[in-house]
Amino acid sequence: MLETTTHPPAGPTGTALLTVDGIAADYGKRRVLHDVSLRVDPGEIVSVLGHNGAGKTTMLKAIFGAMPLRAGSVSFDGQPMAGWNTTTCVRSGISFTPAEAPIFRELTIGENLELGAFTVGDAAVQEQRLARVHHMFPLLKERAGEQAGTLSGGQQRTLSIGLALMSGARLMLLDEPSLGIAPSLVQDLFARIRELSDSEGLGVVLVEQNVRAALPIADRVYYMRAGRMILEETAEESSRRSDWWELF
Amino acid sequence: MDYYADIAVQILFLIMLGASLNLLMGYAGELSMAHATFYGVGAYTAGLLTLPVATEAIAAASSRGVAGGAGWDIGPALLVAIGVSFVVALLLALPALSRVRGEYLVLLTLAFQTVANQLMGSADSVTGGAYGLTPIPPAELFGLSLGMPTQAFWLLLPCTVIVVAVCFGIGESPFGRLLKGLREQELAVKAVGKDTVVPKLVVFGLAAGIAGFAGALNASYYQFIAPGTYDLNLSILVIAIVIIGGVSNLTGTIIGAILLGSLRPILQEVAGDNAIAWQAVIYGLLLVLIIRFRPFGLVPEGTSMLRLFRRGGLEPAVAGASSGVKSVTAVAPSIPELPPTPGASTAAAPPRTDAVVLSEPVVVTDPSPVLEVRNLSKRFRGLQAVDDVSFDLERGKITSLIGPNGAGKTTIFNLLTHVITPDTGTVTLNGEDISGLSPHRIAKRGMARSFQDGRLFERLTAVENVMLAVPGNSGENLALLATRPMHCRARDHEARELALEALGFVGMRAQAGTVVADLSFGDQKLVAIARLLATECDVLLLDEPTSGVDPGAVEGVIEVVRGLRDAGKTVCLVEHSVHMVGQLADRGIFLDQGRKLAEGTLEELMGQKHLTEIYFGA
Repeated sequence: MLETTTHPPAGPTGTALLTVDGIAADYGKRRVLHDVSLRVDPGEIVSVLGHNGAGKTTMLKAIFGAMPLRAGSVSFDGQPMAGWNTTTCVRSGISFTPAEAPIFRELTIGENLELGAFTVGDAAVQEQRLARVHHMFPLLKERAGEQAGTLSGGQQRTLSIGLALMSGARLMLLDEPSLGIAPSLVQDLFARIRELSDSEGLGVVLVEQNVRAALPIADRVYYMRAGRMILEETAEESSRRSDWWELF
Repeated sequence: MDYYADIAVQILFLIMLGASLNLLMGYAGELSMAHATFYGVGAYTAGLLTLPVATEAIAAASSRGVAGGAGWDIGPALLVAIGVSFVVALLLALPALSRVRGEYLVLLTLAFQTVANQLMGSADSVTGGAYGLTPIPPAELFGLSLGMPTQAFWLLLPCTVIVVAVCFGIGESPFGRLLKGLREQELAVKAVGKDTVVPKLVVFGLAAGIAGFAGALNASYYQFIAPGTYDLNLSILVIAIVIIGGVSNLTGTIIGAILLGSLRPILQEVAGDNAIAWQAVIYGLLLVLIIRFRPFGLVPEGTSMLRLFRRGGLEPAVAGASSGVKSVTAVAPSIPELPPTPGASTAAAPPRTDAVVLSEPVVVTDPSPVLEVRNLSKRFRGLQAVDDVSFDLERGKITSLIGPNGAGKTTIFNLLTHVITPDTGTVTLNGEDISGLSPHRIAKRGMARSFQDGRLFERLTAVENVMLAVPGNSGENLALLATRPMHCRARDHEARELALEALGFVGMRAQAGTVVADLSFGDQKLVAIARLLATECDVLLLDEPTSGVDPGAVEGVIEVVRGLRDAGKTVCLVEHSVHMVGQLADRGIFLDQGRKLAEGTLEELMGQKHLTEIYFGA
């Protein structure tokens, strides 16, 4: 029988970046999240895996204040997030990158990045962040004037990470960044995410269908099934499994 | 005195119009903008028929328009008026309603209303044009003349009562239930094997026919008809009456008609010449207030007279307060085969396998596959959603379609039940090719499907939801309802018993009288399974039966699905959770990007390395 983690153990480094404690959420009458708990420490990539319809995206939305909590609580950096909406989240340093349409296709790449820093008032800070993003992803500088929709699938995903960085995110909620891009590019993209996390102390919640791509860069893994967390283990433990059928 | 009697008479006409429109709008959920036109068609028909035959002198004296009519009595003229309105409505609705979308009907009736009203005003030789038709002789009965307001009131009151009673009887009959089903979920009505086009046509014609009846009386009352009476404003007024009073509730319609019918005269007293402007303002305000505070009208559905007077008698007997699904085997009922329905359907369904006795496990001996799918393909623009898929469903087994997101699982369900038309491929059910059949015919042949999102008839009770799926309920045929009411009543009683048994099978008998919208999502899924069971189909396609169900209730659903198999049903299911599939399915068919990659037991499938790679990434 699988263990169910109901309460997150205290983070090894003291204050966790994100603590999700027993949350529930509904679509109309239908409860889609039941007692979901999760913890992310700074510099940690936590992958959330599970079958289609298990509630992974809903969990991200609930954390991000995009849908009301019916139970439980979420806190960011030790601060309770009760009453936060999506704007509060972005201003406080949380970004959400949706699985589909993560960028503004009709706008230029430069405009996309500008919009990423929409909540940042200080022009100097904006410049500094833009320089950093350009340094990390030179392509986004080279093609700054082009329409974002002309980028390849993999490049669009890169841009979506750039957008999140422009907002000054310390916690990234990434919903299936591997969706619709070639396997070799997935590895590149994921390697960059790992780098970012290591160098900047960025916390990442990585929701994925592609288990094999997610495990190598993740520190810990949560498995969801039918709206519940059914297992938490280290990515190492997870990688030793021959398959994941019993968890899906 | 005559002034007030005239107002009362006008209200009676509005009640007749409102009640008939409510049948169409409230029960069937189809909006017609041309109700005033059918009222007018009835008026002109009766007017032309009852006008005295023109003499030479009259013809010479009248320089324009219609000099004379057929000189009929009002009786036959009334019948013809009903008939003409009915037929005109059918001809109008045929192209709109045989299509799926109700929006077409709104546009079409709006156009028809405008054009027909123009015609009434311009076809001088037929309608008398703007001058109208006159003098139409007032009908007389029992020494009362329809031409005198006070006497007319006493003549029209019983007519109105009859109209309301007929509308009420139809609305609360099995046919009315079918209409409500169409209003709530048309696709689900097809999915349980019921035709949707004929009932919609019939109710449209019926509403128009009743309006024509009222129109004929109207012509006789005023002895004069002119196009201005039957314009779009009247159509909209009647719609407002229905909405303000409450859809699918005739008590509300009567209240609405009295309210709006007396508004104009009151305003004329108070505001004089500005009455019409005030009327528009007040209508607008009333509509806004009603929509804001009483979205289902002054008297919402479900507070009908029948419910008020016969509470308890109408509700199904709530036997035993056993809730939940623990009692599946204990309650296990038998659903006996229904006797054939005389003349209910011209497309005689092929004989089904014998009566399903759910209380005893069925030993399946026939080894031939119940469903054979061959070379099924479907392309959506650039995407090959289903690509040359072939498989069999073994009789009395649970087979699951498995695969990652976008594998084409639900699309296959839609292709099998012909909700979507496949590009290629054949589907054979019990040896019969069902590929080209419409969804409701496929359900009649013995294959039905459930929907991911339930698609229940939300404003009906659980038992009504399931009753709608019981095949051969004669009362759903209006002709039988009119000619053999007692037979229909008996059949509806049987349907209720069967529905209660099906609800018992899923452990929901105690909630039979609950409106589905008030049930939890898990309970709604169980009602959906009961509805599927009531179709008496042998092959059941279940789309995500456990998704969204409370974890505590999932076991119950699993038990019910196993119960279906043990009762001899062939089940095919789509579930995203492999864990759930493992608990339910005997066999699995693995799909990826529309293609079938493998089939076998779950263990066999999970043991294959390349399937693991497809599911979890390479």
